[in-house]
Amino acid sequence: MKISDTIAFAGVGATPQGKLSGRTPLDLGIEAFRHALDDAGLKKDDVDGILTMPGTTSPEGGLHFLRFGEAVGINPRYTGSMTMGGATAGCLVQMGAMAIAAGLATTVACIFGDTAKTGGSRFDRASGGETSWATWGMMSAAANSGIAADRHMHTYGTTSRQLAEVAVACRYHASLNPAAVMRDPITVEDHQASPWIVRPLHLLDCCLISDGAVCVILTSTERARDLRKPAVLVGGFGQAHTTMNLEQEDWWYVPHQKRALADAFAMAGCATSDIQVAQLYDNFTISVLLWLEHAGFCGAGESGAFVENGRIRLGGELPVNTAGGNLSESYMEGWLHIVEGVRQVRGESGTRQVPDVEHCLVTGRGMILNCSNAMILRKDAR
Amino acid sequence: MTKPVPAATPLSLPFWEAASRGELKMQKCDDCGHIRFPIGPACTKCLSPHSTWTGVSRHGKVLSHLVFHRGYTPDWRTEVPYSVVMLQLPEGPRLFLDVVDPDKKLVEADLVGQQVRITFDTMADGVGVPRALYEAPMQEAHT
Repeated sequence: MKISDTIAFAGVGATPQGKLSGRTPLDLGIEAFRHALDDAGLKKDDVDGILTMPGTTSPEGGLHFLRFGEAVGINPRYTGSMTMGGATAGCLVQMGAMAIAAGLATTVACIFGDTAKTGGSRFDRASGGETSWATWGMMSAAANSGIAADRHMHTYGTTSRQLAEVAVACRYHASLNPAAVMRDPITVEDHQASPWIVRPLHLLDCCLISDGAVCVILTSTERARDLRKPAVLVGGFGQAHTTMNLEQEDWWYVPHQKRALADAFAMAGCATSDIQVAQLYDNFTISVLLWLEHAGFCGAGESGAFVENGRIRLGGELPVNTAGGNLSESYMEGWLHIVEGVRQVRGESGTRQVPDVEHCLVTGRGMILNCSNAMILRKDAR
Repeated sequence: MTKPVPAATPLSLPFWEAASRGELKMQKCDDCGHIRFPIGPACTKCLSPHSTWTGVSRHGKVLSHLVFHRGYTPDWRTEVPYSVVMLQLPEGPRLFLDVVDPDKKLVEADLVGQQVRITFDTMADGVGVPRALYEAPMQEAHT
C-alpha cells in the first residue's frame, strides 16, 4: 500500500495560547476543532475519525476520545486516545493517515487541548518503576533532558552557550509570531544569566507551560484538493521508541530518533538536503541539537557548532521552529510544530515565512527520552 | 522534611532488605547471567522469570552529574541545591543516586569521570538507602 503523498493536511486550527483562566481542555479542544474545520472548509459531519490526546488536566484520561466525540456530537467510524507526551501529536497523525489509507475513515481530526498553566501541571514526576527515582531526588522532565545535555557536553564538548543559541533563535521567531506567548527577544547572555533549574539546564533552556488547544484535520489528497486551502501532503513518516532507560548505555542520546527519521525520509523518497525548514521538538534546547544530528544536518557531536552564527534562524541555512516552538510560542507538546509546518508549506507564515518551501521536517519527542516520530510535509506538486 | 523513605513492593523487598544491611544487591538471571536494573519480574535479555539477588560493587564511575536547583517535592525542596549522579557499576548496571554533600561543596563541582563509593543512609524504620559518596583524591603532601 502506497501512503506517501496520498494523505494530506486539509485544515489546521489553534486557540489563543498562554494563560486562559476559566477554560477547560474540552472547550479549548472544541474551539480548535472549529478553527480547523473553518480552515479546511469542512463541516463537522464530514469528519468520521477522531483521535485525541488527553490534556494533562483532562479528567477523562485515556477515555478522552469518548467525551470529546459526545461533546461535538459525532459518532466516529474510527477513534481513540493516546498518551505519549510530546510524541503523541505526530503518532496520532500517523495513525490517522494509516486509518484513511486503510479505508477505515475518510477524514480524521486529531485534537489536543490542555490547561497545564492554570491547572497547575508540574511535569515533575519521577520514573524508575519498582525503585522510584524520587528516592534519590531524580525527577522532572528537566532532569531527564539534563542527562542528555550533560552527556552531550562531556562526550562532544558542547557548551551551554551553544544550547542558548537554540533558545535565542526560537525567541526571535516567536517575536515575529503574533500568536506566540513569549515575544521579547533574548540574548545568549540573558540565557546564561537565567537561573539554573537542573544544571546543566538554565531556565531559558526549558519550554513553557501553557493552556491552549490545537486541531489538525487529515483527509485523502484527492479530497483535500477540493477543499479551501492548498493540500499539504504527508510525504513520509516514521516513528521509533526506546523503552529501555538505564539498561541502555546510549539511551540519553535517543538513538532511536535516527530510525524514525530514516523511515520518514525513505517513505518520502527525499533526503536531508531537500528540507528547507524544520519544526524540531524542543521541550529543552538540547533536544533540537540531537534532532539536527540524527536527521543528518550535521554529524554526531557537531550540533553545538551547527547552531552557532544564526544557522537555525530565519535567513540562515536551516530555519528551525519558525513560530517559536515549545520554548517560546507555546507548550502545546509539539502540536503547534505541525501547524507551523503546514503553514510554512502553504506559504502562510507571513513575516516568518521561509521562501520556496517544498519540504518541511516535523518531529516529536516524548516521555523520558523514550518516544519519537518524524514527518515530512510536502508541497502539492499538482 | 527529610529525604523520602522508599516503599518496598513484593518485588523490590529483597533490594531494600539488602540495603538495610549495607549491601547493594541486584537480580542476576539464573539462565543467562544478565544482571538487570531497574528491578523487574523477568530477565530483559532472555525473559527468564528465575533470578537470584546477587551482591554488586559498592562503587562506580560517574557518567553524568546533575545539580538540582529546584526541589520538585516537599522532601527535596529543603535539600536544594543537591547533586544526582548516573553511576556505572563495574558489573554493567547503571543507577541514579543522590550525592552525600552536607557542606554543599560538590554542587559546584563536576564529578563526571570520577569514582564514587556507595554508602548507605539509615532512614526511618531502619530502611537503608544507597547514596553516592565522593572522596576527593588525597592532596599531594607538601612537607
